[in-house]
Amino acid sequence: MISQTRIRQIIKEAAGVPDDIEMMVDIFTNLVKDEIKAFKDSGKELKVGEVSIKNYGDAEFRSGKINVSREKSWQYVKSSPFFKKELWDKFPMYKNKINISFNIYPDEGLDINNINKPNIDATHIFNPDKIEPEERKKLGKTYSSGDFEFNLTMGESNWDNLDTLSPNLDATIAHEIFHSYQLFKKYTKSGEVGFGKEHTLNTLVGSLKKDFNKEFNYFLHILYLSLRFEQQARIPQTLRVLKSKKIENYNDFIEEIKKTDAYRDAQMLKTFSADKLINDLSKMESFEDILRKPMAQQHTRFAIDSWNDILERIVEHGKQSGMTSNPFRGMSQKLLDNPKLFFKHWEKVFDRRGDELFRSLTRLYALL
Amino acid sequence: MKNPLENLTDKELNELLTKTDVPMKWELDKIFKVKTSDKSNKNKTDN
Repeated sequence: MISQTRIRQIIKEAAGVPDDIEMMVDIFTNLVKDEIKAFKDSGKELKVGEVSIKNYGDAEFRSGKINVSREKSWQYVKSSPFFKKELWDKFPMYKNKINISFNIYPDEGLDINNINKPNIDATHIFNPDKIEPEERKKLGKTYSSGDFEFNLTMGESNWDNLDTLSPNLDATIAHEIFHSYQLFKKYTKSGEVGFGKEHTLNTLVGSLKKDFNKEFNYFLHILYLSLRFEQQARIPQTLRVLKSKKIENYNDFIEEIKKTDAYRDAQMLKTFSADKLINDLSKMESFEDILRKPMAQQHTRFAIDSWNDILERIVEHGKQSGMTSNPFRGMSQKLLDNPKLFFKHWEKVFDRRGDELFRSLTRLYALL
Repeated sequence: MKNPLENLTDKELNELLTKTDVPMKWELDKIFKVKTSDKSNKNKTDN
């Protein structure tokens, strides 16, 4: 007979939320909160700067940085009341460096621009050379390829009450730890390092962003949202947010899911328009456009022209850095010769991936 | 215009390869335009 716990575990895994990461998400969320709290309680002086906030005006802001060493993070993990060795063995994250930076702005400056309080930008950084789990005396197998960066944009009210960093902080940590888990599972199951073809596209996104080309940056951002390993990480992230809400029926669920970042991401995928992007790149509405857009158009043209060359260089570099190389298949010359066909091709891909993300999100109802 | 990757060093490319998320910092930079990140430093310089 299968136990209720096992049934629930199977449902969670089918929905894309592995039990193996839950404990580490709880521990790391507390670690980040405790570090920020300790910084605050220590009376350490924050930097004070000046900023101009869109739709709000000039203001002062405060900022700080905290670095948690690999050794310190491990000491925290193993002494946490949440730590259970038998759970940790399934995903033995070991000695992760964590860099936290935060900016504190007036609440109204965030509210008026519809920015989450707090908004958290995060990155998971892995080391291909350390992806192989190591055997250690007493501990057994350990996995030490994963550092994290968390950049928090918060309101004064978040700083006054650090509990309000949840559930956004927990959700972001779930997302990043899931990436570490994806890489761990991929390596332990198949011996492959990295996410394959999508990894190449993710690197291309980062390499092509230019300050002066916000139209193409938008396309690149949607391309990033369309990557399956990114979509998968949005599932445990969203579940963390939904679990903090009072959801009693399907209507409550739909109302709450519409407020999540992942729902917004799915909408962005569904509403991407090749025609609009091309129109945005060409229309001149201000003096700034006259200066900037010719450069943006040129950069877009060159990015599309060199698309396959860029992917090839990334794959080659990846091989040298220890990533598993995948057969390289570029885009057809017909698509690369015509920007409209190029963006139309991606519009179809994004539409399909938007549907997939919506479907994955609705499956979370079974877990609430 | 140069190949968009031409200016990227191997080190920068390596950083991009080993990061699994692309921070939206450029979105926030459009909203928060920092004039001075640390006024105490500015004052020291001014003095």
